[in-house]
Amino acid sequence: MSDKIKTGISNLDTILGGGIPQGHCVLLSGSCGTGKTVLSQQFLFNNAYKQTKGIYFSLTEPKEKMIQNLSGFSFFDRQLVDMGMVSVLDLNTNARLKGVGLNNPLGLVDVIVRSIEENNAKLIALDSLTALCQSLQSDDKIREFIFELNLQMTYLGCTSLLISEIPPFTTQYSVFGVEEFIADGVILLSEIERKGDLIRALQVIKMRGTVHSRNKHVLEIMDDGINLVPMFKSQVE
Amino acid sequence: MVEARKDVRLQKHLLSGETLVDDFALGLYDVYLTDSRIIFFKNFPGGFQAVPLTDVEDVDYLRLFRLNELIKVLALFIGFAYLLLNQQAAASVFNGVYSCILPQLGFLVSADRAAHIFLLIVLTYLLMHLNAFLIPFFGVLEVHRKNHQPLRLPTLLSGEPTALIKRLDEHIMGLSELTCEVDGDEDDSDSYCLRLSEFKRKLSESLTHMDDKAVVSVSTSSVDHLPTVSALLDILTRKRGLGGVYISFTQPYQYLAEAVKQANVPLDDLFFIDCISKMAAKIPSEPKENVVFVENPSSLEEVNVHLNRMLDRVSSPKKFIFLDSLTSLLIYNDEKSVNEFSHFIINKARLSNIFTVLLFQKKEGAGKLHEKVEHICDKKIVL
Repeated sequence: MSDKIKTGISNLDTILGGGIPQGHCVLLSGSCGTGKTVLSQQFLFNNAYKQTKGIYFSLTEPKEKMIQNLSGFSFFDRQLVDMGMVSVLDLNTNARLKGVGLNNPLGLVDVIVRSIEENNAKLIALDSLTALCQSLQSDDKIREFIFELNLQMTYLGCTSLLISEIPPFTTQYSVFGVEEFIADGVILLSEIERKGDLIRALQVIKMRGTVHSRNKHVLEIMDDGINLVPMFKSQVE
Repeated sequence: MVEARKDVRLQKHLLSGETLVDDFALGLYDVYLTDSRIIFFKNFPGGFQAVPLTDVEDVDYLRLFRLNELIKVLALFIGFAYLLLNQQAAASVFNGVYSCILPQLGFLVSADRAAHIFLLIVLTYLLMHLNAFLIPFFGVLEVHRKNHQPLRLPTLLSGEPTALIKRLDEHIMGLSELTCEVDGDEDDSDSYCLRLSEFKRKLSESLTHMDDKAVVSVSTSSVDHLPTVSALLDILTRKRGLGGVYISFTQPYQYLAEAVKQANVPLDDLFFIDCISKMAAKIPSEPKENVVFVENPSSLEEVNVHLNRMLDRVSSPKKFIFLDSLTSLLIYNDEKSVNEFSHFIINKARLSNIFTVLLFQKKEGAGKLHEKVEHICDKKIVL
C-alpha cells in the first residue's frame, strides 16, 4: 500500500484507513452546503502546517472572498497563504493568461501541472470539477481531462481533491456520470432530512489502495472545521 | 454466632471481588449483605440462597394469620385425638374406605394395623396443616424480584424485625429515603423540606469509592431533581475531584448554572451542553466559555461532537459525563434512539475511563428504557 496523506480532519483519517493514498485523484461529491469547500480547504491548511504545500484552484469564488469566508475557522492562518504554503489560484484567469481555452482538456491539465511545479505543491483542490467539465462540454473531453490529470498527478506524486457538485438528495456522484469511474476515490457529502432538520453526512464510496469504512457519518461544521461522528442508525429508520 | 460461621460458610460462597457490607441474624436465616447480592443462609435444616441486588425490587415482612388453616388444624387434631382414643373406630373407618377403593382385593387388614395406618395418615395431615398455619404466622420475609417469582423465607421470628428490614431496604435502595417534614399547618401542603446533608452523606457513600469508569444510573422524582443534580455534581467535583461535562435535556443552562452555583459546586472544570435553550431561541448573546448550545435534543450526533470537544477541554485527568436525563430525552426521540445513544455514551465513557451518571425521572414512563440501560450500569440508585 502507498504512503498516505493524512487529512487532519477529525475521524476522517480513521474512516479512510489512515488517509488518502499519495498521488490519488479523489472526487469530493456533494450538493450545495454539504461542506465540500470547507473540507478541501481544511485538508490543504492542515497539511500546510506540516510544511506540505497545496494549491486551491477556484473557478467559483474570488480569492479575497474565499479568504474572508475562511477567517472564522481556527485551521485558517493568513500567513500560510502569504507564505505560499497554501496558494489560491483562479484557474479561469490563469488559463486565459496562458492562452488556454477552458474547452481544452490537455491545455488545462498543463496549466494545473505548471502551477504545481512552480509552487512545488504536493496537494491540490479543484473547486469545482463540475464547472470545469461544463466548459469542456463533451464526455470525451471530460474523460480525457480527468485521465490526463490523474496521470500527471501520479507522476508528480501530487494528491488531488476534485470537487463535484451534484443535485441534492440524489444517488449520483457527478453531473456527467464520468468522473467517478476514473477517479481513484469518491467521497460523498450528502444531506439527510430528519424530523425536519437537515443533517450533513459523509460517506467514503471508494478509495483505491486503502481499506476504508463505508459507513455514513454525520458531518458537523464548527469553528475548528469539519467534525465527523458515527450516525445513530435508529434515527435513520 | 453469625461471626463464627461467617468465615467458613461465607468465604465459600463469596464471588471474586465481592465485598461484605453488613450481616445480621433473621430468625432461621443468617443474612449477609454484599455490594452486589443479598445472601441467605438457612440455619436449620440448612440451605443457601443468593439474590442479585439488581433483581430485587423490595422486601416485605409478613405475618399472616390463616383462619382456614387453623380450622383445619383444630378439626384434624380433634379427629386425631378421637381416633387415638378409639382405635376400633379408626380400624373400621380405614377398612371401610379401603374396601370401597379396592373391593376386588377382598381382604382386610387386622384392626390394629388398620388403626395405626389411619392414625399415621391423619397425623401427617395434621402436621402439614400445622406447618402451613404456623410458618406464615411466625413471619415470612418476602423478597420481591423483578425477573422471578417472589422469594419467601420463613423466619419463625416471634417479634417484628423492623430495624432489620429497614437495613435490608436501605441496602437495596443504596441510600436512606428522603424524609419530608411539612412545616406549619396541616393545610400547608406546599411546604417541602429535605434533610439534604443526610441525603448527600448517603449518596457520597455510594459514589465515592466507585471505579473511575463506573456507570451509575440515578432515579429521582421531578420534585427532587435539582437537589439531586446539585448533590451529585458536588460529590463528583469536590469529593472525587473529577472534571466533566453535563449534558442537559431537561433544564436550560441558565437555570441549572444558578442552582449549581447556589449549591456551591465548583464550576471551573465543569462544562455544559445545553440542548434546550436553542429550541426556545433563548441563548445568551455573549458566548460563554463553558457552555455550548445544541440545535435541539434530537441532534444526538451534534451532542456527540460537542461532548468530544468538551471532554478535551476538561483539565482534570479524571473525568465524568452527566446525562440529564434519559427520561427527558424520550420526549424528543423514540426509545430505540435513546437506547442506542445511551449505550453509545456508556461504551465510549468506559473505553476512555470516564465516570458516567445517567439520570432518570421516576415513574415518568421510562420503564422499559430504564431496564435496558440499567443492566449495563454498575450501580443503580433510586431516590
